[in-house]
Amino acid sequence: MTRKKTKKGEITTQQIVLFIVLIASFAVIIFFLVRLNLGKTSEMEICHNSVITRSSSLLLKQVVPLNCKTSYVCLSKDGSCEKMTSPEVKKVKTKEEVYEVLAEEGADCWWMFGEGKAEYIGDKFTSELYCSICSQIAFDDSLYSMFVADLGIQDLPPGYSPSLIDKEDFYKYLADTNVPGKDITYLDYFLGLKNAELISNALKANNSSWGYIDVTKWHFVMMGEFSQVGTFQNILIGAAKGILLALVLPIPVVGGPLAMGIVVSNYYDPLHKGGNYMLGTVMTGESGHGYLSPAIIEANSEDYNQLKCENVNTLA
Amino acid sequence: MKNKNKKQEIFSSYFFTKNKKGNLLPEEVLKIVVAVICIGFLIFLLVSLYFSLTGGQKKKEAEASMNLISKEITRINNDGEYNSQGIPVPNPSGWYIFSFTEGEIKPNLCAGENCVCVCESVLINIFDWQKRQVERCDDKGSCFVVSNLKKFDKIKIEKGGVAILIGKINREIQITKK
Repeated sequence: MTRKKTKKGEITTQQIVLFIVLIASFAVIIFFLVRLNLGKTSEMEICHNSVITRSSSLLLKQVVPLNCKTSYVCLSKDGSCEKMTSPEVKKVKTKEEVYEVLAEEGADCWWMFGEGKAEYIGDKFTSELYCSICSQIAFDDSLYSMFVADLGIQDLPPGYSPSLIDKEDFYKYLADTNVPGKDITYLDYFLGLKNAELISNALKANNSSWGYIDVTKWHFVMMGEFSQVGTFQNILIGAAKGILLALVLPIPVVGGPLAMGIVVSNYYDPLHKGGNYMLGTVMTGESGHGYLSPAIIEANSEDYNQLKCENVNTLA
Repeated sequence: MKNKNKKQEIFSSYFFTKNKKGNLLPEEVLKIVVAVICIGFLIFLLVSLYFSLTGGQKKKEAEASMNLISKEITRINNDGEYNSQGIPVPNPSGWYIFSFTEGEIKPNLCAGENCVCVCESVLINIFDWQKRQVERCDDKGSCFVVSNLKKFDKIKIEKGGVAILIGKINREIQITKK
């Protein structure tokens, strides 16, 4: 290419226009690349690949490192988020959009760690739950008002926020909504259940409740794997104690996964007036190991301690 | 029976030559010693390989956790809102969060400044343990310089992680276990 210059060496108008067009095109391409958020996709791919490599390894599984990172997500109505340091801000306007983000984070987590088919922990001498914290979620205060009205909790204990997501409502969303790009609902994808009724009945039969997600607190979107085959089944029949501090209620299912249960709290919480409430669900995966399906657990809380994670597989 | 004895004789004469009294000759002792050394070396090699691979992962975990802590310290130092829920530090389990401040020996990673580090603790706190601790942090840990850091007791990262509180009181960064 020859550069057209005037006698004094100045750039011509045609060249200036060309430069501007080039810069503008470059900016547009960069904008779309950023919008596509390929960084997150590739991190998910890297994690998934490391999980699959590890699960199919013939060597000691600990020798093959997992390469999974916790992502930091802030849900906000107005786009601001003062609570978290450099999070990925997701703008949400309605309750359904909040549920959609939470469900997608759960689905990503379940996919990254092999959907219950990959056995990436390996048999250990002791039966423990190995946790993976896929996302840390913060709710910006612009969202608080969205969750106040509907619950009707009359007598909130002192220090408790009235901004709560009813987990029953959220699980109904999971039972009614399909995973993007798949022909099954979130609940079916996580647990193999067609609706949330079985969970509801099992909770009622055991005087337990669904519980709430306090949006003024940070939460983990996490899942886990039990280290020994049969551990989870033993927990269900009450033969394995101390693996979790929480209780596990069996869900009576015919067909589908071998066994399924609900993890409920086992400590006094004033908000639930001491009653047990759901923390998450557990099931036997195709690998034969027990898994904690994607669950939303309050960060640094007694709920989290109740899971008694032996180790956290994800990097901060 | 005869056949069995014959086989045993062949086996022992092939591997170990003995004198008439049945004692092993020096040559055979040497073979055994060399074999034991080789096996020992192989075990050492495998154990080293295992720990270098898993240790590398722990260092990676420490760096990721330090990155999280450093971001929160920077936010608090810039007058960000105090987080009473705590910062979750998920791993490496069994390692500690240390502070190195004025008047004490510091890791090279801190370049002579006050700093906070995530590293493995030395096993026994005797015989120049502070120097050994600093060397351990330099070798395998991850550190972040915080010039206004207040000294705190080391915090253990438990199996499921630990929650820490980071606050700013009298222009000093204070780190405590939740």
